[in-house]
Amino acid sequence: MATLIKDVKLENVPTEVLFDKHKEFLQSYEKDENNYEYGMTDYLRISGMYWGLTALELMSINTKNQKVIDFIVKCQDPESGGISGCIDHDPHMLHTLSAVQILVTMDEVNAIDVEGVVKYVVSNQQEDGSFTGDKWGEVDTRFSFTAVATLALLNRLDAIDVKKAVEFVQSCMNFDGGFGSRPLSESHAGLIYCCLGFLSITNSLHIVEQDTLAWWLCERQLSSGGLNGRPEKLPDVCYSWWVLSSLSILGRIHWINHSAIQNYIKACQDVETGGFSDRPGNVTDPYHTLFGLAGLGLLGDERIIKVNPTFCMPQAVIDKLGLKPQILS
Amino acid sequence: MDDNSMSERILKKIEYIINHDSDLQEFTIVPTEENTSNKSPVLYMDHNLGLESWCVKYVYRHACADLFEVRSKLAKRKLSYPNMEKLNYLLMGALLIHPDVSTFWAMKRELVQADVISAEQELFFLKIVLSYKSKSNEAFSHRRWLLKRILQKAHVNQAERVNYLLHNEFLVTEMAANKSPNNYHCWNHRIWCMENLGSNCENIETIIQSELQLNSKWLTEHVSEHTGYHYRQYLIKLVKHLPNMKDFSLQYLASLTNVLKVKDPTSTLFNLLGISNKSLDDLHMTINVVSLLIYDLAVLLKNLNTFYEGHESLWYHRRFVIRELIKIMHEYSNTPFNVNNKVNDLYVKDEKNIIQSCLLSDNLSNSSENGEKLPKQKKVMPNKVESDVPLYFILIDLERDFVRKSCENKRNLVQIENARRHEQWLRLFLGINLV
Repeated sequence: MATLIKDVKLENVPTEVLFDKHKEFLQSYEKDENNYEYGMTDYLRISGMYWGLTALELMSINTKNQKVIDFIVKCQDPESGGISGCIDHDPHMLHTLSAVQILVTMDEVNAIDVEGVVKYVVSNQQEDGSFTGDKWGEVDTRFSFTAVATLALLNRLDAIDVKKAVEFVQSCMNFDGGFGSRPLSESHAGLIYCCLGFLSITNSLHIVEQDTLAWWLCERQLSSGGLNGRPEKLPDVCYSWWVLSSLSILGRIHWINHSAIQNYIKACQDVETGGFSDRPGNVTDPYHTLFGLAGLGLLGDERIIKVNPTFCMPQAVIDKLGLKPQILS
Repeated sequence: MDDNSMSERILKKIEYIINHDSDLQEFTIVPTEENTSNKSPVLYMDHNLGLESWCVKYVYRHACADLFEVRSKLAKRKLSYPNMEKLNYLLMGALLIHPDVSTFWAMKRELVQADVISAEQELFFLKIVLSYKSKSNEAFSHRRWLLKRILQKAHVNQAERVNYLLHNEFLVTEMAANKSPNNYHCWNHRIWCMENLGSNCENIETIIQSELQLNSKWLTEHVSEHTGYHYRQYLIKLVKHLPNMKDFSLQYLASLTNVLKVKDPTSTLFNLLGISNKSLDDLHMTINVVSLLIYDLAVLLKNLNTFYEGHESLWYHRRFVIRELIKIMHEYSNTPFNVNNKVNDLYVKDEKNIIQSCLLSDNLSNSSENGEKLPKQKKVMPNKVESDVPLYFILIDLERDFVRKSCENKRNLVQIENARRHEQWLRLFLGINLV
């Protein structure tokens, strides 16, 4: 009896990374997006901009654009200080981070009310150190990451109770070394990235079971070379980023089979439309395009601008801010 | 008819059906070409609701336009009650189509706070939303907000009501888990309900026992879904700390007679872990969780493996069970449990994953592929558990036997690799050497 493995078969894998196609794809995507009112993806437009613009930056394109800055300014809620995914929508931690990432990259952070953003992040910290996504109280380790990443980029990490925040993230650790979205939640590669990113920014990686976790992350690599996010799930290009950045933070990226994952990422390109998709043959989008390119960057592709594994932003931007997120050796 | 009045009629019809059919089961969007038949795109049959896909963009756009017009007024509580009442049908339509928009859920919450809609009505609406988008975390998150609100408003002696709420959540999460395999947010929600509602129930012990039984059944039908095992691990950890389950271990011990010398629970425990003068409650809790863990290893996983050989999830659950047992043995005998979890970096070969590299290095014993000597594993003196505790030796025998049997079927290479990976994991992260 043979076991059915959940994986994909790679066929006709492009030998190259189709940079020109990807630039074209992202630039035209941006234009299409603005063409209709009340579109289906409106509510996450600012995060969408972050994916697309960062992907372009990684391909050496300067994305500084006054229209984007004006749009973000309009998305800041003057009362709470938080930033929403789109004009008319409610502010949220996820979009607040995306907006700050875009503005910091463009060196235009003063276009928004920075103290307002700080106030918003602070208002979402709970007594146990955790963070909510907005004022309605949903707690998730993703929001712990967005909180400290936002504040670090604004050089205001001192505004929250970091010690308690670390204690909360630590309480989400499982026996396999991984982390979930809350205490008692299953380990999940995306949330592991959030927690490691959080610990890297707060200089608290000593609490991690380095090799136990790195081993689990390496077990995410399937025969196709692709990475999944949990046991017995299909591979997906976005996990190239979540897993590879986590391994980079743990100082264990050499534990993965580099050529196999590079091959998988290349197989997820659409040779006609440009862009990357989750799995070969699927529709491409800016989200998977950023994480495909950033993954290739971490693996040392020198045609891609050096990317910082903690912030998923160009390393040069992080250096310019003088930030030194912790990395284990 | 223009797009707006058409959208109005569609939205009102959906609202009417949801408000009047308390047996409504599911909602879905039915893929269709452009409207050609001139019939209503709202399909309603046998307590199921459908919307033809051609009209979705018109309906969504219409709902959004009307909702955003009043968004800030609603937030500032500047809308009159009748005007707030007029928003719910728009929100229902928009959220059925697109349940990930947190702004619309926020507006729903504001309507609940203003007593325009009731929390109970909302829980029903959410069930319909989850029948279509069973992975929506926004929907689960809204449920939790509602449940917290109901709990805050509930009077002290409402255990029965909390029990009802918990069972309702069990039904909804079971539906959502059946619709999407490995449904992370759904199982997380079930854990949240156990923590927040279960802790308010009088009969939490019975609930845990029934959850464990349902879970074994669930696993046989969803053998490759790791989320289901994770939920079981959560339940096992609950058992470890519940003092009021005196006879709990009997049902598990009864099926372990071929692995263990079984007498009454306490003497069985003394046989396995040594004699102790701990309190009776402590002893009960320990034998409860120990018997459950050994049952998982020697019965549940063994049976699942016979029928579904080669599934990674089964092996991950094995790891959990063994690690828990070893941890309990250390706690019981007051021995510090220090996991040495450093992997020798020299094992990594160029262009290989660490795991394959380790399996290869292991094959070649102490020399790497190109003949270079690898450092020997440090020999450490066995601690009290490793030298004295009978269960430790039973465990090693079980694992050795299981790994050997798994490697016997030479045609199932996946299972052989899983078994060898397991052996490595035990060695590297628990210091257990099966060879």
